[in-house]
Amino acid sequence: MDGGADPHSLMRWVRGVGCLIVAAVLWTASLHLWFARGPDAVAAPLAERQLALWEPGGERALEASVGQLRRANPEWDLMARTFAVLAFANLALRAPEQRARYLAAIDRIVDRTSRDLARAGLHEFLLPYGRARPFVDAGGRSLFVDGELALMIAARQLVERDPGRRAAARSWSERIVAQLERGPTLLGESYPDEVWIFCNTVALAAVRLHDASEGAPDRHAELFRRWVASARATVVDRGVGLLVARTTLDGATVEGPEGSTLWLAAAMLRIVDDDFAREQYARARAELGGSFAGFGWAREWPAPLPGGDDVDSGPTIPIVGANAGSSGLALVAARAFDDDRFTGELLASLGLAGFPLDGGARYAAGNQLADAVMLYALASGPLWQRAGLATRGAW
Amino acid sequence: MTIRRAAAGTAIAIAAGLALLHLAGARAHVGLLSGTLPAARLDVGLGAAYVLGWFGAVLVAPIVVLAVLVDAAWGKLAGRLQRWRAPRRSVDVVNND
Repeated sequence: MDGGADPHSLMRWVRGVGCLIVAAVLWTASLHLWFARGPDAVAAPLAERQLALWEPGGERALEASVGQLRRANPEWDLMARTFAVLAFANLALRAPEQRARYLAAIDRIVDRTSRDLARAGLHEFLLPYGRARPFVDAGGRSLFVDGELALMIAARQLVERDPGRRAAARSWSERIVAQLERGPTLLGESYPDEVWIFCNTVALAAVRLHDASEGAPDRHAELFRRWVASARATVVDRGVGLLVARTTLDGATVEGPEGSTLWLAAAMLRIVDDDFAREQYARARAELGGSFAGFGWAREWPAPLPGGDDVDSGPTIPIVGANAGSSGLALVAARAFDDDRFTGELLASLGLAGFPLDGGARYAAGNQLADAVMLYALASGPLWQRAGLATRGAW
Repeated sequence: MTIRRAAAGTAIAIAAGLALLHLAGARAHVGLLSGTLPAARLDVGLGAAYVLGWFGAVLVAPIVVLAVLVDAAWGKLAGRLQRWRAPRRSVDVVNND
């Protein structure tokens, strides 16, 4: 009869498990040190590549990159241009000696986008279901497309006014103001009867930048005040206090709060209503932000309001809920709100799970849009300051 | 010793697998993490294998190697303690006699 387990083998097993636990604790606690990098170290190679794509000689790489984006989602093509322009505008203000180079790239992007719209219409940048039915609003415009182009032109004008673009800048700004004013709850459609708060906050920021570029930053202060009051009443989730992602034109919620909308919306709203923006960021940070052992990430949905993965958010890592789309845009918000701790944690995660290529000039885990978003996040500050916001803008 | 060898072998196998995938260019195909799928199905598989290999090499292998080192250090410390105790025990035995 067996007298029980061999005490020596039991001790060996306990010792082995103990060693593994000690090793896991030591490695986990120090791992982030291997991947920690400062914002400038991450931004510099990204900026070089993004700029090279939009300079003469970069056409081949640009077309390949744009093709990859458009195969997944034509919206990403336009968004990659917008974030590149925002990044270049900030970099132009940070490094005046490089301003001409950045402005030339911005002009190329704006001109190409204007040509694409003139040639193929707004559906050039919309998913195919955008053609399924007409827009509810009589204007028949997409605030996603118009708002992003307006933001690009306004950012360009705010860095340095180009008299030849002044009429276009005013026209796009007036067009989106008119669309917002026509909306029953001051919201504009991106797709037929589909309102995205992401696009609406981008459009509001475009108006503010344009007004600032014209020397009248508060020209639409009354519209901003009414928009925020209406948003608080209609498109803020009563449970978690966060802006929802998608509504009908009447303001009925279709999709609740999601990270890939909220982080950017909060950053855009800083120049529209800073108190509301800060409130949204603080709530988003509490509901969606996560960190462990020096690494940071963001969830796509608040825990009480789970949703399903879609083409914009990308897949979510189970258990912790880390989502690539939300985490990338969380970097934009963390930088916009000078949240250095969260910025550092997100950059450590980028080093661990972003899979940098070509010395950090691009990240294999993302695409050209993700690279442009990160560059904008890291460069942001000066443009919003010029629009009248008192940020630290340290970099 | 056998367990230590097996652990070290596991860590080396993970690192070697990652190195092979890296040489095969699989790192460029990890866009699936953000929903950006490569054009070819084979690339999706390569990308997924690279992600697993990477996290194996960064998260699992170092812990295994560290555990082996901690175990070795523990063994050495225990041996020294035993050697330090042994003469004292024999002195105690002589005194009790």
